[in-house]
Amino acid sequence: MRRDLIFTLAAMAALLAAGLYGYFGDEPFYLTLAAKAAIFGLAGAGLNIALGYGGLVSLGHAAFFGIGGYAAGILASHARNYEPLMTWPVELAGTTSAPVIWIVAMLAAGLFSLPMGLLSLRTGGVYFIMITLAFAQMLYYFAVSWPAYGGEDGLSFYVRNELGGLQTMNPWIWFLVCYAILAVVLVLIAILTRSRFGLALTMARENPLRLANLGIGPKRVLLTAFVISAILTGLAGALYADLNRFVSPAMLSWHMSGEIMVFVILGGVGRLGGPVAGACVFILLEQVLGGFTEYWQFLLGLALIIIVLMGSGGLAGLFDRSGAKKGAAHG
Amino acid sequence: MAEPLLVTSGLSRGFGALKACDDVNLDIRAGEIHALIGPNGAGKSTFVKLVSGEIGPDTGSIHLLGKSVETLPMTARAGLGMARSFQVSALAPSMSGLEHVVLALLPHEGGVFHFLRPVARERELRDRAGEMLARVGMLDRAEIPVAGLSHGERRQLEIAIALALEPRVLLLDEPMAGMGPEGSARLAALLNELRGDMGILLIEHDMDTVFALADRISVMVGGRIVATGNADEIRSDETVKTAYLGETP
Amino acid sequence: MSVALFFEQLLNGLQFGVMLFLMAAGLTLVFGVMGLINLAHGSLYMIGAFACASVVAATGSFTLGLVASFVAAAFAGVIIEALVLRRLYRRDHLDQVIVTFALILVFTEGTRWLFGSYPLYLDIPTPLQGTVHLPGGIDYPLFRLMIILVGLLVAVLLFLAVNRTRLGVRIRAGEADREMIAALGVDISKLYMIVFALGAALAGFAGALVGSVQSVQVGMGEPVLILGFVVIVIGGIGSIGGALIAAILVGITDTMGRVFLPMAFAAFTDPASANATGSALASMLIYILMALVLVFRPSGLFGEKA
Repeated sequence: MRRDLIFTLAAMAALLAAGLYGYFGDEPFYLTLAAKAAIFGLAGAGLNIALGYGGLVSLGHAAFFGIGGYAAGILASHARNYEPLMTWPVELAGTTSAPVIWIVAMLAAGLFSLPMGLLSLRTGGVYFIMITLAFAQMLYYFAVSWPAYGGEDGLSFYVRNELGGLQTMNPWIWFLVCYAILAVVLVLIAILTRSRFGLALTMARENPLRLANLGIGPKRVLLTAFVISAILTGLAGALYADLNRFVSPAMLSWHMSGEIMVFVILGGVGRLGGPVAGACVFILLEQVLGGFTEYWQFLLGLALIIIVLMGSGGLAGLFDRSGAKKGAAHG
Repeated sequence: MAEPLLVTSGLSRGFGALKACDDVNLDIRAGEIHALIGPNGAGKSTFVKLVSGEIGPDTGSIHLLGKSVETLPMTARAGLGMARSFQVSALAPSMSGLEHVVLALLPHEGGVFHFLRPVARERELRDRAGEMLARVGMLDRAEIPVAGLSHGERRQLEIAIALALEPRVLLLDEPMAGMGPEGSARLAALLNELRGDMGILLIEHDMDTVFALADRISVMVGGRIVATGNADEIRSDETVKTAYLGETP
Repeated sequence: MSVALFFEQLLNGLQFGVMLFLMAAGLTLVFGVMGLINLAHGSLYMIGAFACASVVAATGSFTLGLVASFVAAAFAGVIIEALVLRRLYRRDHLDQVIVTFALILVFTEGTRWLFGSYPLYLDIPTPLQGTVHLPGGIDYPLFRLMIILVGLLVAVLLFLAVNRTRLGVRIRAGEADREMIAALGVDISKLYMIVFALGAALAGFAGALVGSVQSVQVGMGEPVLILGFVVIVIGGIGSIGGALIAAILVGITDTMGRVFLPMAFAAFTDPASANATGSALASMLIYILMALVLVFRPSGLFGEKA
């Protein structure tokens, strides 16, 4: 538990350092990258609840990421065009208020995850992977073929949404907003994993039969974790849309699901700070390897294969072992 | 006499050609220890799985506290007051013994859907869980993750978990296997003490323990109950001698 | 709606379904025998298509191209099985998913490196061009008809191989109990390699055939892979027959939906919005079908009860 905390603080400190470097070095590009890492970390932290703490291998989290993104894009574009979202049965207008957008994004992601989770959990195991993947793909094709919000081309909006009186278009401010949200969410997850529900979730992952024998239905516990997980990834999606001021079906693509999973794997599955560390490393690799070749994902693929085959437990695993070695040397 | 806590009638379950349980009629009364003995592969564990709801029967019925439960899922049967220890310990390796017992207490204490209060602050729950662990002699090992517990300690933890559920019917599938003489003796004493509060089905290979503890004994051979009675009746039963104890008349 | 159009689309759906079967058969065999979920199966499909395109470009022989697709995909399959996947059989699903996802990155970017991002087009050999007259006044492309027949033929051969040969007995034994067939003295790593190569070859072959009617391009395997999963979920894991029926069901539903749903909507709304709504709904149709199957038969139409 203590090592997990130290690792998390280290990852968060590194991310903050990147942001500070961007701010004081007057490099807005680095600030944007740091904000992107915070958002990807948040998306990964969401997935980690299902994947790491619940043992649910979801290959469909792009659905929630994209829903969050489209929630932001659709609400903002309606508000800017002064077109109501709907006129019947009640008239609803769009909005550019970020908090409202975040809440709508989380609600929408959570609502979609409920039937998706119910259906995917019916048989579990390897079916879960295929079914989450398939439902996310369904949404992807829907977004591609539905012309109202840009279809394949996506949807642009020109100004970031409003948060109090903050200058959200300022990269430093926007980074701090994303960073603060990530920090709050990590604290909430830390509490969640230590709560009653956290105990039940651990048992649902490690021994569902026993959990049922205690009179607690493992599927209800796992479904709840899946929905919470979707809500957080949805929030990340809304932030990502605002970061780019653009949403497109690419946010819903299964490649995105795979990438969110890669953040978690690189950092450490089921580790609080794992997704943050993983997202930072991913973006670092993208910048460094991407500088050498546009086919940098070829190298990323090779690296991933080696990392998983060696069974290293990601950065968090490396961190644990380096600590253990030091401990042994001292003791 | 009061209605038995648990009654199975005509309970059968096959796996392919093998009839693991064949027309099993058995009951457990309040306040008794009912031992189920029989050679390996007789179908005892299948019977426990059927009763607890891990698998479904082909035919037959199970009544728990007068309610028909053979179609109910495991969680519902647990909710009605049935607890079970597993033959092979079924625990979460990363969780401590205390956490296991706390989890077992939760269904009666407001459920598991509380997200924002650390369990570490739930003093009352932890104290009660500590009591359960003390009863099985595990208090000093309470905080250690299960992965670091010995085989015997895991068996003791299984019992503590079952106790935490405050069951009316307790199914114990070879609870003493791998426990060592000291642990077995303590468990026997504990079962003796518990007998008043609940009905216990005890599957056990150690005949001395069975004959010392059990109020009634049923003998299962080839999926069928061949005899039921008290210790003396079973000792002198001819069918049991031939079929199980291996003596020829 | 004319009867001819209906039958033409029915045949298109059948063709699509048969190709999906070739994908799904490999996926379900590999999962059934080795317990491996292989996301990189779509890459083998792509490799088959590129091998075919390259060989046709070099030799001008379509037959050689088809043979090349089969061989190249099987070869790639054997390589990744021996180097990577073999180490994953005893790992959990998460490791399998992430490593096979990484393999996709390697294959996709590697192919882009070699061939570029532009699609390649294959010329159908002259004797197979043109159309045939089918009863009912339908003119149907000969090549597509060939694909249906070849696909069905492969399905029958595969069915016979699994149910009537010694190899098939071993495959089915491996699905039932992995330890058992090792105990019976079957060389398990050889069996795994054969099964994997077979699945890969089927995928590569499908890629070549579909590549010749559509186009050959990087990333072409992934949408088909996901449809392959949908087929498996609907048909039930480990069932070859279930995969065939589910594949045809999915192929026909998808094809018919795309053509007829917009037409159906046009009957009561204006054409533009009918087209939009109809196409959007059609793109989701097979997933809705999958959801329905999951509600009523969670283990698939032909899967064993869990």
